[in-house]
Amino acid sequence: MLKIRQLSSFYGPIQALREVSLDVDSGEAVAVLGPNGAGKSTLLRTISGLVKPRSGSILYREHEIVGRSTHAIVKLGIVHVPEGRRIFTQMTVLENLMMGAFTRDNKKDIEEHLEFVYEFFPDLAEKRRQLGGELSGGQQQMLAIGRALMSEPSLLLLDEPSLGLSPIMVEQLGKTITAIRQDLGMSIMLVEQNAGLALELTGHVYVMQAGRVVLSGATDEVSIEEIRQAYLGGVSNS
Amino acid sequence: MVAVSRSFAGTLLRQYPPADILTIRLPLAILLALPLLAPMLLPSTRLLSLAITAAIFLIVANGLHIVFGYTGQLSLAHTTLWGVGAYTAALLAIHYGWPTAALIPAAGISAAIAAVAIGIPAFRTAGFSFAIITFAFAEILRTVAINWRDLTNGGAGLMLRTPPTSIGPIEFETIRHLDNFYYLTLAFAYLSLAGVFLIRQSRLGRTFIAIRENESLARSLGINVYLHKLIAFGLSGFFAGVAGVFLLYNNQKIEPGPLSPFSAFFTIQFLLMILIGGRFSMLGPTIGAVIAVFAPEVIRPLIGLTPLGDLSTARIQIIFGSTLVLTVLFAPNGVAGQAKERYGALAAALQKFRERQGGAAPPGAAAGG
Amino acid sequence: MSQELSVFMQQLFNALTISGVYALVALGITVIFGLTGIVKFSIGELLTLGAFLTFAFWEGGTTFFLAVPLAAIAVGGFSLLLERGAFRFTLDQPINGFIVSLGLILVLQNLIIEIWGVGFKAPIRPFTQVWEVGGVSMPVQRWFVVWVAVVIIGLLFMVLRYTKYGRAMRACAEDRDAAALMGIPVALVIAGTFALGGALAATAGGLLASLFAIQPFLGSQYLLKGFAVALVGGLGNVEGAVIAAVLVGLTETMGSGYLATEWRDAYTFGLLIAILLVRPRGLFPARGRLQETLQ
Repeated sequence: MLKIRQLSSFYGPIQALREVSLDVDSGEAVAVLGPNGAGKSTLLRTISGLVKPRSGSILYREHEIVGRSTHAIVKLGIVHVPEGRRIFTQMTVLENLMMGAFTRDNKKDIEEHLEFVYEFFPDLAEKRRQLGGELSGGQQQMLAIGRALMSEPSLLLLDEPSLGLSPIMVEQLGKTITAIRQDLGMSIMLVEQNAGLALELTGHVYVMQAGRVVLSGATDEVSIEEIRQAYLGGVSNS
Repeated sequence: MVAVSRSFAGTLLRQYPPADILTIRLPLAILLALPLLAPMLLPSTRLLSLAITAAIFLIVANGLHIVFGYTGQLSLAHTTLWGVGAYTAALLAIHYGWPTAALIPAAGISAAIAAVAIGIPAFRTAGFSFAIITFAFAEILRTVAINWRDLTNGGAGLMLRTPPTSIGPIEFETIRHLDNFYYLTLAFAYLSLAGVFLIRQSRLGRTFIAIRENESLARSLGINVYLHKLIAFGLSGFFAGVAGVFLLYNNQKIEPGPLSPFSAFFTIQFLLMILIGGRFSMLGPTIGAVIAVFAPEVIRPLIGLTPLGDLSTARIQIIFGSTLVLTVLFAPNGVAGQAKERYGALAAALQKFRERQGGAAPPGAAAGG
Repeated sequence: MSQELSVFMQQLFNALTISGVYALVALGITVIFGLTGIVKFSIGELLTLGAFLTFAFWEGGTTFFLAVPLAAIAVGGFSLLLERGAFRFTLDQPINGFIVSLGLILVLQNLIIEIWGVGFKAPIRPFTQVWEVGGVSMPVQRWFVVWVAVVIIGLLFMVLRYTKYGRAMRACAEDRDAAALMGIPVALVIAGTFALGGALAATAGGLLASLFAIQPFLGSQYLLKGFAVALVGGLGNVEGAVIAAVLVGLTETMGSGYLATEWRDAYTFGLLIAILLVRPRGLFPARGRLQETLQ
């Protein structure tokens, strides 16, 4: 579904991605792990078009999406939930969700998705008239994901969703992500610092270090020890 | 391995090895000495008058450079301080008959005091709020200049008929001794240039730049940001005030009208000078002031040959404004920035060439990047 | 009605008229700033352009009531072109956008002088009646200006709150990247906002052409007041701009009504300084990623 080949991006003068290649199959969940500054967020920002790559290609369902604008990429069905949630704090929960449905025009369709998201996240239904900024951290994360689901994406990019959440909230988040993949059939690309959580939720893992993919493999075939090695040194095999 | 980084271009003038005196220092020295010959080179009195205007503008622009270029604070009251200097000099000269030698420091100090007085409240804010508070003060001072008729003679302004005090046999009367007046003004223009140079080289200048680059970092290093901004503003005011004396002598009057230092027109004009010249360069304001004054003279006859025909003042302003827009879009570091980049590339190429030739570069010349 | 009361009511009415004009200019400034962080000073010249175009259309035989919207559309379109041609390249560094707008002031002001000359144009007077109520004289023309301003401000609020485009604008103002990730065509919204800002300023200019004689330097004074209003209200905050417009209008008219008229500008700017010293980000600071990094 998503085929990334030889992708290189710069963050200001610094090269953040060095010829990254990576695949996400339909209905699959993929984890991208790595230390801070490894280029994980830049990878997601490049896929969603917020960062223009210097070279390389991103094929999504056989379409080349490098060079397309962010809103066009969203329309194709790739939705990126950025690091730090980035909900609209000055808008109500309902307005936030409506922003998620921006690419949709059919009123009835939007209503249906709204009902669906409220079912998925009952907390949001209860707080629909509150401002986004008044929610707790966990609720904000739910809102960020719910907002992304409003456009019914085929591929969901999640950047550090567990950051700053309590252990109970992290557990709930895990269930949500599993449900999104299993019940909704969406593909997921999950960037995480929390390696344990990521390995639990995904079938394939990539480890990045200093802008490169240094390790990749099926989650059940890669050992924690190998991942730790890759974090520290950069053992390059798969 | 000797690395020549792009930042090398930025510190070129200070770090360049003496062996390259021919490539940088000599041309620069010639360029800087050229104005000394202006009375001989310029074919008309009108052009010499323009050179005087350029010299006065240069002093004002160098002052603005300290607060805007070095310290990064967008003051919109700078030309008003220029006017404050001129009014101070006019009042002291008319009512008390002060000589020029006393007027210059007095005008400088009074404008510096006005700057600090504006800065004390204004620097409690930053960014656009600071810019607009300085603007508000400028508007209030303009209203004062128009309405406090007992002091300022209102909209008509103050007239000064006496020329600058003679130095022995040297007179500065502007009709018969225009070249003398030119040299007097030029001397202070050079002084202002030396002033910004010395400030840039000093600890104070480095502090100003640290504040421009990263205010919170500067603060965390223990720099008193508020105090240093005030110092920068005060110094810029001093420059403007001194220039006010020359403006007064040159125009023989000071008034608060639409083409006076109190107008928004000049506020914009001086920002343009610094931006076109280059806001990160020591010579930026100088280049900008010269361009601002002489560019219309160059453009006018050139355009005269085209179907556009004769150039009205409005058309020149249109060209000037468009130049600013294009400068910001395509060369945001101004003329000096462009020149430095080109020179930096040239220097880097020279260095490489030398390495290949002699094998060993002069030790420490550009090591470390 | 007592003498004092009717003088007071007269001042109040005058304040209302001028507040309406200030509010339109300030809204133009504040919406553009909210989305881009650019303080667009050249909006003053767009106001002047709006005034002169209104006058030109009217002189060409169009009724005033059509001339104003025509001028607003034309200037809005022009403002859109400026965004496409210049401002969009400065979105990474708003201060450069500000400087570009300074350059445009020179260009536009002198273009207007080239086309229409430096002289005054007499005010257009579509209404000539004056209502007298208890010693307060209220020209119908001024009521018209007040109502047009109120309707436009009301419409703008409705659009921002209830329409898809309005919500997109608010989303872009709060977080441009997050808005893009919702599928909002951010570049288009920004271009549209420049058009809107230009049209608002041109409307203010068109209305002014029915109140006073206009000249090419008209823009700068209204720009300054509009900017002062936007800043007092909190740059980027539309509700704040409207409240601040009334505050500034009142200060100015009451100040010149009861104190000395010739100091009227000093009252406004004195108020501005006082408010910014206590609240450097205005009375009602806007909250968004841009505003928080810029101020």
